[in-house]
Amino acid sequence: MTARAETQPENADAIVAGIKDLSGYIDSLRREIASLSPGEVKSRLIDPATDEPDATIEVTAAATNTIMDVAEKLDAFGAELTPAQRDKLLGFVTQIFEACTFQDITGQRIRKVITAMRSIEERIASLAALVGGGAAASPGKGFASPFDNEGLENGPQMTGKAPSHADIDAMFSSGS
Amino acid sequence: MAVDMNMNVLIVDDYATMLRIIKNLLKQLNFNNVDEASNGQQALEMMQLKIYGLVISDWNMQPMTGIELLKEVRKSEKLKATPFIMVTAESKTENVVLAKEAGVSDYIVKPFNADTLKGKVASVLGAF
Repeated sequence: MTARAETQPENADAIVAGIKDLSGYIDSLRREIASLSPGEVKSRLIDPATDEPDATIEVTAAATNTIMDVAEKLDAFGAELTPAQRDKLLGFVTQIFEACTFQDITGQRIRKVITAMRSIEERIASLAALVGGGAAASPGKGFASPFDNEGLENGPQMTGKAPSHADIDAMFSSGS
Repeated sequence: MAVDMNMNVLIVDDYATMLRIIKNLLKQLNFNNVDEASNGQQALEMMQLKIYGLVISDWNMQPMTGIELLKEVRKSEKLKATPFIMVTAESKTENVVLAKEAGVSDYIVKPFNADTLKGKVASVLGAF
């Protein structure tokens, strides 16, 4: 009993100190999580990072369709050839169609990445909201984004977000 | 029995590019009566209006997936005998087992080539 009475205050002090440490750690953690600035993460990282692959899918789909347009024309042209030549051409055309299946697979894989990024965005927002942060807690550019327009080598540009070739030609012809 | 190359074939995929590829490959196999649907629901509606000798369907589509379409086809007295090939990027064992249990005739994993398509179609319809 005596020994217990002697050690109790020491234990209590240690526990209080431990709780203070823990409290300080939690506060610091809350500040760190709140500073994740989900609104900023969304606008400066997630949105542009998902726009880019969307654009990739669109561009590759357009290119694939052009390739298939030509392949179909070649296929039709085969009717003008001898049977042996037509068979040979058909073999090449088939290889083109087979190769074009890459676009479907590529698109599916890219969409998975987009979904994963959206999920990360939601989780960051939930976590920040939980500790008192949120979309409003955007103190400024606390991190670098490869999509910011402050540096060089930021291309390729998204369609509609940069001057077209015609716009650039117009700039040159106007001398501006 | 010889395969009727004039049979109606229905291809189902939500991706226009893939529909175009499969249609062209089927054309090269001399199947010229090929219809297209962009999801399972549309395919099922088309199957109520026309007799198809073969269905080639993707898995991931909305509003009705390929596996849901397959189950609807297999439980319909009118449609249940229709040969049904699944063409999908889903190649996990459980997907294949699920499709097999649902009564799929054969299974093609994307990406695939013309020989694979020909072989699978022949395995379902007979040599042509």
